[in-house]
Amino acid sequence: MKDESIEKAIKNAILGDEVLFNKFIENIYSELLPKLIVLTSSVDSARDVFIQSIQKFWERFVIKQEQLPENTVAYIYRMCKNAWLMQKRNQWNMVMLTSEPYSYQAVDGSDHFLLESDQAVKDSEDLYRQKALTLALEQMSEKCKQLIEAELDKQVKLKDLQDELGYHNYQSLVQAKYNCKKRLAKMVFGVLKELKKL
Amino acid sequence: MIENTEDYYLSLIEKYVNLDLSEAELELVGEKLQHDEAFIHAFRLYQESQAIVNEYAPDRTKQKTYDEIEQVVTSDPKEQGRGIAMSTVFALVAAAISILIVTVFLINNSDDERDLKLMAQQAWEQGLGLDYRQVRNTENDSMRSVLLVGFDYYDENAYQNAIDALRGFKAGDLYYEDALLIQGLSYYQLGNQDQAIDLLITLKEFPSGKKANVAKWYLGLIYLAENNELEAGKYIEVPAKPGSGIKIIE
Repeated sequence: MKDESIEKAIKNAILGDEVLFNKFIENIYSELLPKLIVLTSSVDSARDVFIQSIQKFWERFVIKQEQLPENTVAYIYRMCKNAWLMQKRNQWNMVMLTSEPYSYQAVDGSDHFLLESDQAVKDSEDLYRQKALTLALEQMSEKCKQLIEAELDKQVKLKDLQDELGYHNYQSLVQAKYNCKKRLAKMVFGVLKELKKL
Repeated sequence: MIENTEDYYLSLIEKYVNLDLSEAELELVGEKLQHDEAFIHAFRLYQESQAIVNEYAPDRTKQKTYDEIEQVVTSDPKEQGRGIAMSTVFALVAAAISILIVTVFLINNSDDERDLKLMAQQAWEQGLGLDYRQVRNTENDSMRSVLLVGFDYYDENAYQNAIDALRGFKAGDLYYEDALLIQGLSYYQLGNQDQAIDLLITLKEFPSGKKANVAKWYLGLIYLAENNELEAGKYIEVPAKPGSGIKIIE
């Protein structure tokens, strides 16, 4: 599939029609499978890293509408290689690759970041988190806050903000929203780091 | 943590999460996740920050689930649907053809004692046109050697090897027709009847005409073995009574 076709598949997927995107996945999978089998030495592992990579690909290029790389096939192979090498190092215990709300998954499979029994520490962590978010939000521009908050109100459609906030197209608007979320996370990171020093 | 080191760490972590690291960076991150306390701390803070933001403003956009993608790469529902539809059509057509053949057979051949398949098999065993053992000589002829290697494979029932050995012959080469014949018969023995018929028709129509009759003989026998007397009759004369000989139509 040529890159223009991939762009079309992604455009359709953004509008809710995944037929072309699924065809794209199917083609890329057929194309990469021999190389992935060589990489992972097993069809099951090859399929597994491919699926994980496509989940990430979807998140980045369909949801966040990031700029597509020049050679999509080579790029997806690189993503698979990343996924495989990480898996090989058994580091999946530490890092969740989805954009699900964060949780630290321990080796025994239980989800916990702090010991449940240590309520005081938990309360203090919750306080830190809340404070970090409030302080970080205060530092955000009004435009960014508006974009992020559009997510909170189900009545508000992001597209309705396009003209109001002066974006030329919907893609720029979506990208701006994710850049704002990224900036907010970075600010939370900074505040949290300072709070935990105290 | 020095500010620019922190930025560097954050950029590495972000690439890591995005499956976007180069090979060198992958090595580096692997090392750091095991031994660099500052990096591990930054990693946990990064995850915590992402979690806080995601909890505050969760993404409403549809994610592509593992199962959805797995379904696409392990099976193609459209193909399956088409497969079912096509198989139904084929089944109906096959049933109709079978009924037609049986009906025609009952009407026209109720007193036919011939076993066409057996006739074809017996004729095939005569090995017409396959007298390559008699043409061996001491000449140093590399093409002939290759041809004989191919024939030996055929004779030993190593049909795919025979095809592979003779694949290199091109139109215009000495023994090209012989190579076509052995390949065609090998394909037939491997169950690839269409390819066998294609090669034998090419041989029948080849300008030199050297092996045209042999090609007709085997074409006729292939159809006869299928009980397709009508098609076989284009190449060979099928005797009306058992015991008589099959003749090539000149």
